Amino acid sequence: MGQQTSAPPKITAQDKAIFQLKQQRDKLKQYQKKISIIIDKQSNLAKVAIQHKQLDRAKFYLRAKKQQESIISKTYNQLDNLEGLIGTIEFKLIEKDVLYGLQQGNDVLKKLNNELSIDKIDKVLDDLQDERVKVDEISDALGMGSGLTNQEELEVDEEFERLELEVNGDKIIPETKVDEPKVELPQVPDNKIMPEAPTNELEAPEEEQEEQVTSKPNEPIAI
Amino acid sequence: MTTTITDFIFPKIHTFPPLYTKQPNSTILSNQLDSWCQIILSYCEYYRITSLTINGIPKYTQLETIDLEKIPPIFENKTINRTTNDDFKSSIIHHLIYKLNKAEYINPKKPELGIYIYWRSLVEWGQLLYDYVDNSGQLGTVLTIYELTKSDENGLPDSLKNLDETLLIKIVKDFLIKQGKAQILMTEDNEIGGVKIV
Repeated sequence: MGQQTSAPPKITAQDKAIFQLKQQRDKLKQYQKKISIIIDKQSNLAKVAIQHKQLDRAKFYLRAKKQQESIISKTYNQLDNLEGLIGTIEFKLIEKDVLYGLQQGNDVLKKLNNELSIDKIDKVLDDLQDERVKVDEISDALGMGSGLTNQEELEVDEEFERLELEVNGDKIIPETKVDEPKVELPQVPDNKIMPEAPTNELEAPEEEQEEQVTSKPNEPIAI
Repeated sequence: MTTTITDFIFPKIHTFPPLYTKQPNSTILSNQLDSWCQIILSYCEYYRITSLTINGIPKYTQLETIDLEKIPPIFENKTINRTTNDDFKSSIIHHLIYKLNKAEYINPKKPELGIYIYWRSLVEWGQLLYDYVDNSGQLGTVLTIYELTKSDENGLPDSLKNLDETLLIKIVKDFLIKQGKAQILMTEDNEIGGVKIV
């Protein structure tokens, strides 16, 4: 499909065989065409002969025509054979390709499986584990387990606790003071004045507007 | 054999008497030659004529239903009683071949055999043929020339049907093989009988 240049496709022995069969088929088709033209001609001649009252001649044409017709039906059988053979060869070629494809696939799969043998995988994983242990050993030997010594680690913990106390210690005191007064204040105003009054006011204008809207379209209709 | 399509309608210039004689002025002559070539190309495209004799008489058409002897001639207009002479005809054909590249001698060694008229270029023909073989799933299959021109069983498009076999072979040789897309098969008589397009 690509745009390759100067690499003409090869003609295989199978191609040649199919080509020859197809040529035979073409010749048969041509022959059929020729015969059918002759048949047409002969039936016309027979008609003319009857019109001229030449009955023997008409019969002769009709007989010849019958003969050609039987030849044609024979050629159809031959054509059928040829087409069948061409079809079988083409299909066999496809089967061959499929088999080839299967073999290729099989080979690749085998190769991959060989590379992925369980012993090998175990060995690789074992090696990996060994290497990890080695890395840890080296780090320990150099005293660099996580980059800090145990003593330093402890100091970091201590500093962390001290800072936490400093930061959180300030916040804990105000939070507890604020909590108590807040409990009394909110409950009183919420319940009494606010809720009922505004809902009444709001509904009233809406109803008026609706009346206006409905009354306006009514007027022009009345007029 | 009856003509089933209406006669080609020549452009107005075809009834202009001076068109039929070679004009002495070179600029006018050049225009005149262009007009003639235009007429030839649209005439041939209309009747699907792929080759002409060197006297401008249609040689081959894809249309089986028309009788080439009954269609109006190119270089003649009976209503104004004019014809072009053979000398001027060959200038026109020379112009068509070498100036416009819209025609080619069928056999350069034997120009008297006539010319192919390329109202569709070889490249376009080749593309058309390749598209048909591709779309019908026949890439890589051996196809006979008969199958590609005469057969009416495998859905050959009208544009390709009944194409002149020699032109078909030329299309395959000059375009598809050069692109590496085709290979030809010879018959026992050492003639090109089939083609494999991939």
